[in-house]
Amino acid sequence: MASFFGEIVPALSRAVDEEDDDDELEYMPKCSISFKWNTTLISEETLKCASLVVAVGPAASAFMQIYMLNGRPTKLLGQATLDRADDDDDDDLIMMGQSSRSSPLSPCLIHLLTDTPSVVMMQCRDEVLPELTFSLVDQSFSKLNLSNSRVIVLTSVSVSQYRSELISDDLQVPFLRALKTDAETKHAFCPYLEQPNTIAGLSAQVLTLCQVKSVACCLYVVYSDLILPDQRTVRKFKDLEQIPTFKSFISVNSATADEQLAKLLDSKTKENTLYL
Amino acid sequence: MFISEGTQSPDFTDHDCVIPAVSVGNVGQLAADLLIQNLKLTRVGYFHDDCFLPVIGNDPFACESRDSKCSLMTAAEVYYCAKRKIVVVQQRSPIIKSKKSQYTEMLFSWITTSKFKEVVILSSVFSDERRDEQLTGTQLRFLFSKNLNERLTDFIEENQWKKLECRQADLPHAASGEAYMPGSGIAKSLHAKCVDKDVSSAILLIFCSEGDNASEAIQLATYLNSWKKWIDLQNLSECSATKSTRGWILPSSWKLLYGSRFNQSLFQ
Repeated sequence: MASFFGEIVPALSRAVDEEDDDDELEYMPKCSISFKWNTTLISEETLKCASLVVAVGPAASAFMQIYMLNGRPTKLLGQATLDRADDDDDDDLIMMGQSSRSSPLSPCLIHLLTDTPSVVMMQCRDEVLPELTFSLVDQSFSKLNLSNSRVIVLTSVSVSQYRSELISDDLQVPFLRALKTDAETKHAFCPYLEQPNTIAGLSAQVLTLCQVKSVACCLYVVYSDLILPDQRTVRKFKDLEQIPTFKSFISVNSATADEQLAKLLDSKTKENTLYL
Repeated sequence: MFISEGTQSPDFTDHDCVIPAVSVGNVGQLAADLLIQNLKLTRVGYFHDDCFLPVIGNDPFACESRDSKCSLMTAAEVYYCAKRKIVVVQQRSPIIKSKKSQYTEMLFSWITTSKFKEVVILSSVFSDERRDEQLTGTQLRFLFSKNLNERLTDFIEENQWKKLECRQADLPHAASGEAYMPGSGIAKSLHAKCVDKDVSSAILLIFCSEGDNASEAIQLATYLNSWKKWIDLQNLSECSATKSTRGWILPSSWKLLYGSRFNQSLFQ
């Protein structure tokens, strides 16, 4: 394709990269996900759980940490580990916050609430590479018996990705939208996500698995206008307290929870500040 | 890979199967959208595999506003019409780069076990790779398997369909005599597998560049329909609502292509 200056530039496509003749071995993933389970809590059989709450991303994860897990007796049921093919940190992993240098933490932690053993909480602090989501969800769900269970997924997305007939100035940010599987018969708390908007990544993988396995699952996504998680975005998930089953997941004493949230997000802001 | 939505998997024996390849401009996928919308196909299953990048959304074919209802859409789904014996695969996200061969293999395995009568692959090719004689005239091309070619010789001649030309002699890939289809995704490899195992297979493609490819999708869908005659577009195109779209009703998911509305006062 000739450019304005007459030079030949390759034509780009949003759908395909270079010709399919390229050696696929070049694109082999440099890392994989493996799961370690707490064998004292879960052995060969699957764990029956009535409710599974999955938090994907920093905002949802902060909400789960402060409002659902803090001050509650929990046990670590399982955690994911990122196994790299070589010791060098890949640029993609660093950007996703999953290299050993930037984040030694597991990309996914599964907690069992000891006071209500039928409730399991899955916390995924950072977004996982899309290529690894299938493996992560498949392995994490392999030990959970989700027949007759309800799954709730919480995540946040930038409002720049939201398409609407409304003018962007008229949108009251942050706001909630929902998507649910066909097996979920209860109506969602907030409006459903309108076409042509889509959700990708780990949240999408969880809902896809629940859809094909006919598991009742509802995704709640907060659209936010900030890159880093902030208190308004995290507290938006508190609107879901109006759902009785969700309210039971919230630990008490929200005053101290608000204080802890401010502390947690303040420390994150200081780590990421551009101007010292 | 194929998971049926109901308890029983439908019987696809002797059905026509339309498979869009993720190709330049997503034309095949857009054309599949038109077929599903206008033939009013119903979803009967999913492709669930680690090949696909995950994506979900609300019902892409909903007639009315969908903030009060939800019918979940996933990355790869199979739609079906028992009366017309049509199966259409719709793929909404790309294949993970390292898994293209794996996906092609599994797709071909599904095709053979389903015992389809004919497989039609919808795709597109970069328009900047055209030969001189391809610059003018129809931009639509076909490639048939040997058995289809023999069966449709009269049809090809009557309708003046053009077979995809070989590459110019002085350029790479020309010597092998293989079809050169840059940007066509898995169309060539899947078609080659079908031809190898005597499965009736066709590729219908259009030359295009990236952009608003709705018009190319309409052309490709019309091209396919002129062969299969699934929809009577003649009467529908008289209606003012569908005149510009050659009779095709566009899915609701095609709106807001250029993003949300913006505040007009920004540009006063």
